[in-house]
Amino acid sequence: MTLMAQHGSKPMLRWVLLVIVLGIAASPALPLVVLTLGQEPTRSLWTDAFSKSTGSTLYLGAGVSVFSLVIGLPLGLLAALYRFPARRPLILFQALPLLLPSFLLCIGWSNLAAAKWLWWLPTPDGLAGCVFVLGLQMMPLPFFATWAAGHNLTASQIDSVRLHGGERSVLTFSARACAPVAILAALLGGILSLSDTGAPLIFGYRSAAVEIRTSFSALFDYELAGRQCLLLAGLALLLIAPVLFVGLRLLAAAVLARQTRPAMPYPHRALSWVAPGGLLLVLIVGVVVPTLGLCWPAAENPMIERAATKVTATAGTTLIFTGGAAVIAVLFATLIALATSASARGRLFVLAVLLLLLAMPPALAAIGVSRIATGAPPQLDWLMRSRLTVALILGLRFLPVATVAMMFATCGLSPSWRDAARIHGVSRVRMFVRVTLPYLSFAIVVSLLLVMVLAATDITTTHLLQPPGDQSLPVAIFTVMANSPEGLVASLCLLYLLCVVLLLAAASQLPRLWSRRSA
Amino acid sequence: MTALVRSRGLICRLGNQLVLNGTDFDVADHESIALLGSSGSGKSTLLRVIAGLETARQGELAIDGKVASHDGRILIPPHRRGIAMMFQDLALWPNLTVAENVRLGLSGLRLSRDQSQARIEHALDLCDISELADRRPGTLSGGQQQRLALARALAMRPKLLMLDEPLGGLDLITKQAVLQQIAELKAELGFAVILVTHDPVEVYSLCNSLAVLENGRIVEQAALDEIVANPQSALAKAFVRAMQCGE
Repeated sequence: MTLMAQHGSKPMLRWVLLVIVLGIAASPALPLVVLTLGQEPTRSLWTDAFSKSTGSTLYLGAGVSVFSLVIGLPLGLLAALYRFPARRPLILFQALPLLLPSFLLCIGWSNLAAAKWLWWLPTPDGLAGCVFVLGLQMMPLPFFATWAAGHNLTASQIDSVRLHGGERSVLTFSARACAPVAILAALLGGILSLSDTGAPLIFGYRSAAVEIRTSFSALFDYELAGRQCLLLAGLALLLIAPVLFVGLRLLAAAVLARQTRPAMPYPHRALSWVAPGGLLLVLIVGVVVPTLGLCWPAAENPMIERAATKVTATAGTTLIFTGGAAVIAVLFATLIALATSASARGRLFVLAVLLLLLAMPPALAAIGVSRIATGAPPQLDWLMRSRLTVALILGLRFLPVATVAMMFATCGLSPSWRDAARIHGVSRVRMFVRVTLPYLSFAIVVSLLLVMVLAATDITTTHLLQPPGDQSLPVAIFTVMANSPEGLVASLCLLYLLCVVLLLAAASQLPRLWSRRSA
Repeated sequence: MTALVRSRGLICRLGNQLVLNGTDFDVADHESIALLGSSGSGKSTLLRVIAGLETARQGELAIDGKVASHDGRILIPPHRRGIAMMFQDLALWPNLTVAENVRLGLSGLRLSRDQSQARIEHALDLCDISELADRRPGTLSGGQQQRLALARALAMRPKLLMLDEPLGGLDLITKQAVLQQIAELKAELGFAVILVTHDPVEVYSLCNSLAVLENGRIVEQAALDEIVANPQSALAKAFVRAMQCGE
């Protein structure tokens, strides 16, 4: 008799795999930590400007959290509970602001502010402007968190509340159920906005992220930038840790759980019009108006041809950076999701670590790696200062996003499929190739697209790590925006926006394509 | 009759809960036995231990006279036990067609392409779903899905078919039709059946003996007629009352 299997060995293997992958995900942040802590500072970190900017950053984060919550929670509820025309595209396109770099929207607003005939239009500036633009940009986080949490309410729960107290009770009950998750998502949005440089730079608001950018791109003081970045990371850590401690379980339950009998969207006479109206208004204010701001100079001084040349010149590099990042992120994310598919504890642990890493400023990894690359021998250039480096660091940065998407998909894998395969003697490899992989293919494609678009928005990482001669489109726009004709900048922004909208439109057709395939 | 399944002193824990507590359970060749038990009594776990999907920490399980697991060690892997199972949620692989579901289910037997094809056609034919061979499970009705799960199970030519409450979501007419089909196939192919259910109709249609599981132990096991005539446990008494009401 041979021993075929023994209990207990596989969970251990899974944990080892998880620790290795999470270690890889955290590794880009380590060089800066080690270098900075092991070095005597040459100049004081607490300059007057940096102290002030740290305080300003906190105001910005708080403002963005509150603003995005105030819009995202009610709209998420309405989108989850009510039936209305063009529901699917309207909900999907709420993700658009999150998929655009903030500087693109800010350039649009700035162009509008410069137009004299629009003197009556209140245009954003300073703290209020940053909160306004970044709040609208982060709004998808509480919006989709509320929408997902609303979907986890059962049809019978909603029906019974509706029968007993009418629509007002439905809204109160659902808001109470979804609010904790929405608040957590809004706080996460606020923390993520701490590292944004685009909006504060354009609206003249001195945040810590702007100070860090000034240190490395204007003063070329990487040591100071590194220490400032560590301080900002510490601040983000201080803010995110209690959020994760208190609400991670809630967030995971809302985002990863699958309700087998969710409430059907209800056709309400008034709210079925309020919902699309609200969603449309947010899209108009958040995306359409700044886009008009981009169209204005582009129409006045059309430079589409020059912009198209620039786009063509940077397209290959952009695709390699973002596509490489997407492949790396989705590969690791699939491994993590499959390794934690049978363990709720494992999922929580992984989510906690990854959200912590996501909250870190992107400059933390980028400055550390670029400092190491400076001292590394030329033989290591393929690893330290190549397109692969950019793709790898971007991929690891957006690993949390891909992981959440893949975890959501693996939650739908029924354990009984695996049991049936074991009874029928289907090998693990064959089961993976024939059942698991095709089942996850939709989530894989969505995650690839999502990470590609998000990776393109990360200017800091790409700017610091791109090899000489290789420039991505967003970085190209960011570098030319201060000293090029407005028409060219606006045309470049418009072309970039068009690419993202086309990608999103293609993504909106994916469910239909998949359901046709599976029919 | 020889014992097809023979378990002695099975002890199984899931987390902190003791689910099987020294379970002794026998199934004879060609027998159709219904396994009754209240929720959480360990019925599904017992089936999973017999199938080799779960290991009992202590105790011994023999299948067809060979020791299949002993004190936490699996000695015969699930697909070599000659057992097929219909799961509560049917466990159909959703992205594969009906024929592909059956074909993948045969992959552990290492048959030639022709042999596989012949078995698939035979199994689909037996379950009256040949015309659905190219459809995917999501496009089938509840009854057709049950037949697909049955076809996939029977294509293995098992000695024992285990049914873990697979007919719960069906309407009465479809349920009767599926049960009748299983009974006919059982008579034709000669496999034994373990049926986990709460429904007297299912027991009456398919089984000739009954076992009652309480707190992880078999407290009563006998021919159906004997139990109907003289039920011992509270659950068996309730079951007989429900059966008589149904009649």
